[in-house]
Amino acid sequence: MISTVNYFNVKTCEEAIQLAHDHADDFCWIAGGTDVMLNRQQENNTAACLIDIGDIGELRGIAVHDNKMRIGSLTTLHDVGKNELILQGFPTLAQAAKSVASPLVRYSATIGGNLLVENRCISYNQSEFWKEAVNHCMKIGGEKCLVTGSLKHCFSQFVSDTAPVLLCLNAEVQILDKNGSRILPLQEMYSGVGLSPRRLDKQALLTDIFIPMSKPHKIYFRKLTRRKAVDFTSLTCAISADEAKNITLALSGVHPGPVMLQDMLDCDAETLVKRALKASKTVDNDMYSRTYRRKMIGVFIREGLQMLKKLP
Amino acid sequence: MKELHLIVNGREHRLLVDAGATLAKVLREKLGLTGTKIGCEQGSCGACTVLADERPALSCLTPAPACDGQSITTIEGVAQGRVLHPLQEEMVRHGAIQCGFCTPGMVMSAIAFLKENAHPTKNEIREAISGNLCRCTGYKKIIAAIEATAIRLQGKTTVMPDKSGNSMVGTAQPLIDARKKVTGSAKFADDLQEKDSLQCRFLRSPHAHARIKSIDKSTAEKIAGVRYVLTGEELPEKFGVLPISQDQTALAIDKVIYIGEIVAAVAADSMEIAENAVRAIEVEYELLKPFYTIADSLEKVGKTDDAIHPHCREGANIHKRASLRFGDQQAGLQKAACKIERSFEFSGVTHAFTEPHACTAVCDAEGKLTLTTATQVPHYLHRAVAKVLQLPLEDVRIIKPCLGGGFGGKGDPFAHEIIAAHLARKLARPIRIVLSREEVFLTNHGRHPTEMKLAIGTDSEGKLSVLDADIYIDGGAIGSFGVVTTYYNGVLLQAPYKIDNIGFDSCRVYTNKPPCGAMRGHGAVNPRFAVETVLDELAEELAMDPCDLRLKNFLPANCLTVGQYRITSNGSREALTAVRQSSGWDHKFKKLPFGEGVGVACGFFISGSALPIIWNKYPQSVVHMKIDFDGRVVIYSGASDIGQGSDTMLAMIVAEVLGIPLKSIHVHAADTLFTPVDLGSYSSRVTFMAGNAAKMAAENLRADILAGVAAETGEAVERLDLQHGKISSKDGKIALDWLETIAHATANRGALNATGYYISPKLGGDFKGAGAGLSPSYSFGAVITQVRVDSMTGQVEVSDIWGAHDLGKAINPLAAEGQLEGSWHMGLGQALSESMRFDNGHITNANFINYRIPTSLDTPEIHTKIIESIDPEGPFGAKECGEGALHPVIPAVANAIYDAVGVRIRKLPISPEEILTGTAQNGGVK
Ligand SMILES: Cc1cc2nc3c(=O)[nH]c(=O)nc-3n(C[C@H](O)[C@H](O)[C@H](O)COP(=O)(O)OP(=O)(O)OC[C@H]3O[C@@H](n4cnc5c(N)ncnc54)[C@H](O)[C@@H]3O)c2cc1C
Ligand code: FES
Ligand code: FES
Repeated sequence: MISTVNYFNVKTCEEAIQLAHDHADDFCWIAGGTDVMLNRQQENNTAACLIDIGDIGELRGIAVHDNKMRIGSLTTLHDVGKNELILQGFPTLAQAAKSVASPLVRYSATIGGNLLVENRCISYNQSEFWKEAVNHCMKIGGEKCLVTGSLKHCFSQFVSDTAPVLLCLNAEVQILDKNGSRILPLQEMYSGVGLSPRRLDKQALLTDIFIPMSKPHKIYFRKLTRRKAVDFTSLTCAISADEAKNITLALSGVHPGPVMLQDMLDCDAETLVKRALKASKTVDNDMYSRTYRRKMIGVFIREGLQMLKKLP
Repeated sequence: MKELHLIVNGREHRLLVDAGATLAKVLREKLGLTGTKIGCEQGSCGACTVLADERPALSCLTPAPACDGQSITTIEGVAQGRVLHPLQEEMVRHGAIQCGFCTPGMVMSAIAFLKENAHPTKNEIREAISGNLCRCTGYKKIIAAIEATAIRLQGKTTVMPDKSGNSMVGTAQPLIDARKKVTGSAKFADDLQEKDSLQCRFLRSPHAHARIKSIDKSTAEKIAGVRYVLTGEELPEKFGVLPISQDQTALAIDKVIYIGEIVAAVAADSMEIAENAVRAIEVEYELLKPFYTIADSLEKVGKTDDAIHPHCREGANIHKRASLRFGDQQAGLQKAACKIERSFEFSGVTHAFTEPHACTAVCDAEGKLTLTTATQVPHYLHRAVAKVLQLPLEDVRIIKPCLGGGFGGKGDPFAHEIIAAHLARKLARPIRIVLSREEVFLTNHGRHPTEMKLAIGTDSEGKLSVLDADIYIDGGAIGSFGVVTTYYNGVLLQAPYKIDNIGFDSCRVYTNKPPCGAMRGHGAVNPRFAVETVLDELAEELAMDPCDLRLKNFLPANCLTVGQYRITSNGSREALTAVRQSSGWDHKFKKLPFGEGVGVACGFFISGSALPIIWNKYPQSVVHMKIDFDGRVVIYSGASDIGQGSDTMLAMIVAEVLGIPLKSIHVHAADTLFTPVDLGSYSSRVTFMAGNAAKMAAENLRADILAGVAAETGEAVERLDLQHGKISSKDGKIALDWLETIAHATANRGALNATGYYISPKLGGDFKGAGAGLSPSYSFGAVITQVRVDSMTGQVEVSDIWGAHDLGKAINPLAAEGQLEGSWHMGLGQALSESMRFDNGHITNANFINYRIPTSLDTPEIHTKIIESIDPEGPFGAKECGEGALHPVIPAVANAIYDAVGVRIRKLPISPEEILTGTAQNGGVK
């Protein structure tokens, strides 16, 4: 059982950054907490100090400004799923938000937290009892990946469902740390490395998500799960096409980071599937087999391309 | 520690809480608001839902300090005094509450949803409650209650047909404890919070098979707040639910035989201290060769290896073999005009009740023990506790409080219960135990993983002529109900169809995995799947409609099966005909486009095992009744209401016999100090057996009341009539209301008592194995499902279930429908999404995120039809409805998939991958 030594509720970003600085050795941000608490229950997250950013009002809300939609990182998935601006501008984003977990989770879960959700694996998302019995995998301090036997790589899955859509929309994220604020393309936030999937300083805050409104996109979205609620993804696929028929393909659930590829709408589907498969380090760490998920990568891509071609 | 300011249900609290505490724990443990339930602690069941500043929040995922200053509404704050919220009323009225464990969370979530969406569609309701798992109801009645509430809140009224007539039996009655459950005041085992109690946590084995070389508890014992560290040698006496399978000790002694077996128990001042102490215990193990699969365990154990138990048979890890043969199957199959032989494989599944096991044990100053626990079988537990603790039976009292679902999974005496009892005596302090969801999975006792071969032959007209089955079941590490399961897998093949040449061999092996036992539909679910899918193949071969094939082969009413089961009432034909009609089968079968299909299957089940587990002359159920000056009738029954509504059933039967309203009846059940023995809630026996006992007791009481009134008034008994709670004489001279009646009846002798009991008639043949599956009556049923198969992904969606079940007589149609809907829902889970997954003896999905019980969105439209065949021996004609409905739904889904895409399913759960392999093979045509 892990003990939390300190719990801070903060109201402003400045306060948050300062506290993070003071507790730099062992802290963790908590937004909606739906992922943090799950990982604390499983003792993957053992930070002594939690800094609750949930009450930072300035990080909530959705608005369009300068031809960009800004979504505050603390906006809940519930709100994203029913927001008029989003439903009109980016209905697949609403769809992706609504595909996460269950309505109950989404009341608390934030979009920022969803982009930064911890990677998952069948040998990582277990109780401490379980993990101790199998000698902990490398993601939790052990020597090797228990799924593949690898001594080098962790293959935990990146599971965010909103990320693929946001990647397809060329979203950018705003990051705040003690040196100030900067904006970077969403994909730069991800390392693709199972052990440390984010390329983000621990003390940095994700404050905003920006989506350019300029180019009208058509987007395909599909998530593979057995049940229609509660399940984490086994494969999430988004494909967008812009006016110039450039397409962006983004996958989650099949690799330690998002898989992102660019191509043209009239590309050879099979070549694109091959590229996607090559880029996805999918292993048997999910409720569905590696073989099946890889097969579904092909199915979703072909279906997506066809659908996008048909759309006006 | 953190200081916390909370306003809960309008009341202010200033508390000091652990900085890591969840809101759920604070509400339950600090504020005693136990209406908020904890089912998973992972945000995956919804039982813990509360409103935080009016928004739903999963309190198990909400850090308490995050709620500082917030206004929290829990289920206790929903009703205004005794006036229920409209949703609560509708939930009660619609029978949307069975065990009630999911109810508080469901109510909170639906109230918030209705505030956001005042005019919801049915699908929006499904979506809204999809994070609230219910294992009992199949969601249908919950959705109906929410729909009705929405209509009411719009100012319109909904009318439920008024079913209160003169008679009680046959009318739809909400469960008598539904109001308690819907307001959060019902007390479940973990809600008791006995003062000054100690918490107990377990050290469990991390190895599947290993010798315990040493246990060092010295460090753990020194931790402040640790009161005791218990290890196995202190409780050496073996126990088990069956007298022939006493193969378990409360804690492992000398060796461990499955991952999760309890090795040590710590009683401490708090959960945290106990947990820390558990981690401080050092155990040295010497690994032994583990046996994980049926194949492993059938092999001879190597000379240097250890069998799992010393009593394993044939030099392998075989627990039990059973076999029965009527006729010569080989010859029969040779002669058969049409025959099919197939192999099947079934994954293990588990009950997944929403309430984790929990208990509290208290020992009084006299040394008498009271164990309040989530059990389906207080009586067997009573015996097991006395046996292991070596106490006189009279010193043990078992109480079953409200119970959050069982389905067979709370039907054994469990190690944790015995440990709690022992520690309470030893330390003279109350002991509380609640298992985590993972521990519930490790405790298991679910359906056996099964491998079987089945051959069925018919004559050229489609008459079933022969059946042969070869069955292997994987029992896990202990016996549990396994000997019965071994028989049931074979013997329950002899109905609902008439087959005179039938035989089987079945074999149960021990493996180093959490034990399997009895689960809804016990022993017959997997073989039923095999039979019904083979019948579908035979129908195709014979170019017959699968419904016609079945109709042609049903056993009639009032007959004996080949193994001498006495079939009395039999509604098979009516059930199948009903679903055939309502589903539009004749327009759909083989006529739907590729990817869509319908499938049919039938089933039957025992209505109570005619033979008791412990062989003696004590009746299977005894009911006592008392009536005193206040007019209140108290029913004392050992029967365990586990959410199915048996307390309500007893009250209704008594109300019917005495002609008094339900509110005049109090049921005191499942408390072994006061209630006479009922063997428990298993084998679908309660309505039949306890119901008959209650009926007899009520009739005796009625006679006694009439006799008393006759004696007082001087009128002849024959001339007195007791109806609607009033006594009148034929000539009208005597007219007494209820209290007057009772005053007369109790004159000069005081409160009246009455007794009733039930003993099965002597049934069956006198060959070895003849007793297995004998029942005073059998239920019958049929299901048709319609599915859509995505031919690209292999994913299956069931759009409709049409089910009909012959339950003899629905004493309470509302509760009966609930049982059927819940059974179909549970079957659907086994068909499509549920499976206990193992990796080297470790369960890899011991949680509700990856053990996938269907959510409201995964549960199709359910069309429920009750068939009433009026059983000659059941109380008012009633027989079972709690289990038998489950059997046909799984093969009906598989058969529908064949109709949709031409792929035969012989492995459960149905895997999209295999469907794709199948469609690839058949070229994507049916
Ligand atoms: C039953 C269940 C099912 C689930 N199913 C899904 C699913 O289908 N798909 C899915 O993607 N997720 C799923 N989740 C995980 C989780 O609920 C979501 O990903 C959710 O969006 C996380 O958001 P949150 O606000 O709760 O994040 P938190 O738990 O608060 O945080 C998640 C991570 O992000 C960090 N973080 C959060 N906000 C910021 C910020 N602004 N700046 C810097 N760091 C930050 C935290 O430190 C933490 O590491 C599920 C969870 C549960 C309990
Ligand atoms: S206990 Fe909170 S969701 Fe299950
Ligand atoms: S009534 Fe829903 S879980 Fe029992």
